[in-house]
Amino acid sequence: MNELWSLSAQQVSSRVRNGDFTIEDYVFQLLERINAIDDKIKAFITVNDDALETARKIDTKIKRQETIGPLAGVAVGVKDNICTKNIRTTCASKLLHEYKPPFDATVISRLKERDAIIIGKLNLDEFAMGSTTEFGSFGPTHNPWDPNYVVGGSSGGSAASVAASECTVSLGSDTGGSIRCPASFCSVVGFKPTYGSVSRYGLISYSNSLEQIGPIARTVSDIVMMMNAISGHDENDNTTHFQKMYEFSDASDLKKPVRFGLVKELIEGSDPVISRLVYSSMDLLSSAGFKWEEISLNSIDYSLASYYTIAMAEASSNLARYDNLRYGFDCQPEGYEWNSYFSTIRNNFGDEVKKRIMIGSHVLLSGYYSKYYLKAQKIRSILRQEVKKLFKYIDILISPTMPVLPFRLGEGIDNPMKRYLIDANTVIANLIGIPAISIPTGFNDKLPIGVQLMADEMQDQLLLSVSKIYERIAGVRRKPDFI
Amino acid sequence: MVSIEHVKHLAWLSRLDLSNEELVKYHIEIEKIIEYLDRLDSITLSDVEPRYYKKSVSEFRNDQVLETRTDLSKTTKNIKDGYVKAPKMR
Amino acid sequence: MTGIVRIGVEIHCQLTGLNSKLFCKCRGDYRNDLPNRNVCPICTGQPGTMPLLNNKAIDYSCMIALALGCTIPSEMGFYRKNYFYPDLPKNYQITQYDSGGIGSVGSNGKLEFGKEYARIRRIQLEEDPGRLIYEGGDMDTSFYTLVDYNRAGTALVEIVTEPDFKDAATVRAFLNKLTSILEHLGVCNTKLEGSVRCDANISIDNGKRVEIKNVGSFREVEKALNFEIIRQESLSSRNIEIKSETRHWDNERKVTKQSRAKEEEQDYKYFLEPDIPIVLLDKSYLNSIQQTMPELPDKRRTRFVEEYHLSDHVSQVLINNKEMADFFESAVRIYSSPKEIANWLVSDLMSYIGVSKTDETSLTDLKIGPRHIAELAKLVDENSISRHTAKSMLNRILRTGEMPSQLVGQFDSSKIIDEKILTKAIEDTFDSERAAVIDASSNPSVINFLLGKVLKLTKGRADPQIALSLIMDKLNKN
Ligand SMILES: [Zn+2]
Repeated sequence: MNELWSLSAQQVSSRVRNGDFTIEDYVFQLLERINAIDDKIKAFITVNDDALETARKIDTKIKRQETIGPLAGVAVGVKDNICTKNIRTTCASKLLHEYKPPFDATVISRLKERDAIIIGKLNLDEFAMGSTTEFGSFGPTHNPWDPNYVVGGSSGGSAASVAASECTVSLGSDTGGSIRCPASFCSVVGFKPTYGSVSRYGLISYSNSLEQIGPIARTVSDIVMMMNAISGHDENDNTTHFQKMYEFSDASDLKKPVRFGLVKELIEGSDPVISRLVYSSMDLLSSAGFKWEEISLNSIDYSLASYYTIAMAEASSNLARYDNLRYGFDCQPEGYEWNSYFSTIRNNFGDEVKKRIMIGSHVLLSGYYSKYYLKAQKIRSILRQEVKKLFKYIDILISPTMPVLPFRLGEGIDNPMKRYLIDANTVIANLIGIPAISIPTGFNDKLPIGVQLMADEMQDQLLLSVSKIYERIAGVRRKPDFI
Repeated sequence: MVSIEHVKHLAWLSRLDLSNEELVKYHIEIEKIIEYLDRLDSITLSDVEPRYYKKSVSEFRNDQVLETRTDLSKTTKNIKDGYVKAPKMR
Repeated sequence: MTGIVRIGVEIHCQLTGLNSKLFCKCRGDYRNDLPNRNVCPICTGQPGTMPLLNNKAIDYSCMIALALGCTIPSEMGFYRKNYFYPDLPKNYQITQYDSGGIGSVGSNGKLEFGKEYARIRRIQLEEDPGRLIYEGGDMDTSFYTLVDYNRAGTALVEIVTEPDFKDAATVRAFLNKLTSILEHLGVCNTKLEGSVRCDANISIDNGKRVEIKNVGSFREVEKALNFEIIRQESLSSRNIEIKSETRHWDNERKVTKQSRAKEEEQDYKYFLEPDIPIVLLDKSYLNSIQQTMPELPDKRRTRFVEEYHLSDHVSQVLINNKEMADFFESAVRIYSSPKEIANWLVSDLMSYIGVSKTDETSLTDLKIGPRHIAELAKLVDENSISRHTAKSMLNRILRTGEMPSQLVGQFDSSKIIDEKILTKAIEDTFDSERAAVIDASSNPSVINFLLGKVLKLTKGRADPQIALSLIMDKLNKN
């Protein structure tokens, strides 16, 4: 039984049920593969020692013909900012290198209840602050399509591991594009659901009002499968919508005609190679009978400034708790004056994190609050109004996921502002809480290009159905050849 | 314009013990980013209300006890007689 | 040469009536637990956790706001108050604040007490921090600090007044009224150590404001304020400028001391807590709170006057202490003689509570209950015993908990029950029987020997029950 690792979650789940192979065999192959290739990719921070043991347990259930969960056999890689009980959860930060959470994130318990296997913890930018997965304390993750290139971020490990078939599917978190950017750069599907549809309990906060956990997979169908497991109301997260569970259908039938709106400003701001590809996708949609038009979003000019203001403000407060008292690494406080202990400990944050904490403090200073933070919140609300108006006659907004192609590791690293600008297309969905997805659409030479689709709030089902159609019409699927 | 003194103040407010080199390096980058954020000044939004998520009282948790008794000695090495050891206050 | 004194207070009241903490499911009652046992991932600020607002705490805070005549907004929010301190598990406190139209649970209230009133500026619901213990006992000299998070995250209501008080005694009267309200609402057991804390600010002749913190009890508040008034007046009489500062009350030396903490300009960088949605306090909700609210002291006093025909003064005295008022009503339910019972409580029982070591002594600590007082009143009404005998009986019941009816007949008013006389006789006996006193600790039967000596000394007139219990007390003290 060769190359089991290339199977989709749907295939794995049905074939282990049929007894084609055991989950142990499958997990074993994945572990071997991780062993063989992850040195080049560095997607994993921690491999779960218990994965095989868990696999055997579920195999026994199958053998005894006991009921098994819908995700039996599916090996899920988890971004290392999502808490896993007794498996270290580091956020790629020196401050949490030894941190073993005393609880599972809600998404993790839901996966476990459905017999999924947690295969390991995946690399990210420290505390998810970055768009390239270069800024973590474990070093960068390399792009499976060319290891000299960045994977995107901050869920870089989650996208790279799925692209390289080191796991079946993965979980990432998306604060301003952190799922969709690496999905685009690695040619996999990455989904950010409507804010409040997936519990954030156990997601280590970077920016609470913007971020959502979401799946990364090689097919839209696998995204649907994961969403059915992880979404729904959670009493541990006051911001989840009061809807017990969502049941997403994998069908691609549409109840009414769907109209696409291509966001003009985002096409204009993109690398010509990318905009050409997006236009040819639009042609494919046209020939399949879909209507589309170019639309304009005026408040986009302010969206990045609004996004960074809010993200950094919330981050500066969220990251205050890392003082090494209740959890952390071994550094005895005895003899230190407390302020100097805190400052010494906290200097172990990386450069990017330290900068964002300081800027976040700046925008929250009482004299500056209405200049920055309140203004940023207001921009969210006008952007939302504008987009809501569009959704009255447009069903799906479409744009390149990223305005640029994947670039070389380290490129432009000394110009952080330029790096921030590449989030322009993705932050919109986070600012207003709508669902968005990135779907592999083509390549420039060996470098992947993704297209982003967005739908109105709570229209996750519509977005997923359209994504299935888009995937069939304009999507691409290849395996990275270097492995 | 962001002064280096201001960056020092931000570092203190954030409890970050920056070296002089770090301070100089961060100062340049922080200034650039804050300049970018200042574009928020060019739009007036006095009549716009921020949007908030709202819930009624009954949607929040009921007053029930569930004892977890989390063991802090599993996450920190700074434990003495059950207390978490912290630095001195002066 | 006394100037115009202006005092404002900030009261932190724990919602001890709650079962669980404000943002997690740990017990609200953190007292009597080993350090860091009443904790969970949320109240220890573990990464990935979020606050889970307790809806009963919202009810309670609305009740307090209503009782203090506050305006309650249709929407309220929680804010993060960002500052570093080792007792804060997240290095920010979740509290309430007013910004951009999203405010706290109450504002602009007013509380009348006697002929005075104080304006309430703001009421807010917030979390309590953990507790710091200075190894070696002193913040200044200890080499490290110990933190117990058992208290962290319990619900507090902060009540802030305008600077409407002119002297310390008025503050005390206000606090008494407030305490009675909190007790009547059932939201706070004010007798628990640390359940109500009071900070004050004070200025003289519109001078600089001085904050006084760390005041343990309400009695101490009065002392601290009086000290501070004298200190400030003596400074200004010598033309020394009063600084705007924070001072701590030194409970041992009974003085306020300048806080040695760095008095930096604090910037709390307030912003709305993103993990707690705005709370809708709509009309129907507030109506239901209003309707289920327990009877408040003012209303109860009026009722006591009308229903039981008590005097205004007696009613007020009873109601100032909710336990006493409850005791009264229970006794009346057993035997309906309100005036007689009120009299027993106000002129007799009250003095026993006062006699004890602290003025916080609770009625429930006594062996006497409403049944006893009701029966005593009945016996007097029926002329079964004289009032004088009844008073003697009360003295004995307080020690023994016996029912008055059991004592009728066997209770001989010629017996000596006066503790002073008995104590004198016991002291004399102890002096003459030193050896026996020493033996008593190892040989309990010697106690009977001592009791015999006391009876002999009083020619058999000592009440043996009271004498015995006094002997035991004295032996325990030796
Ligand atoms: Zn707790």
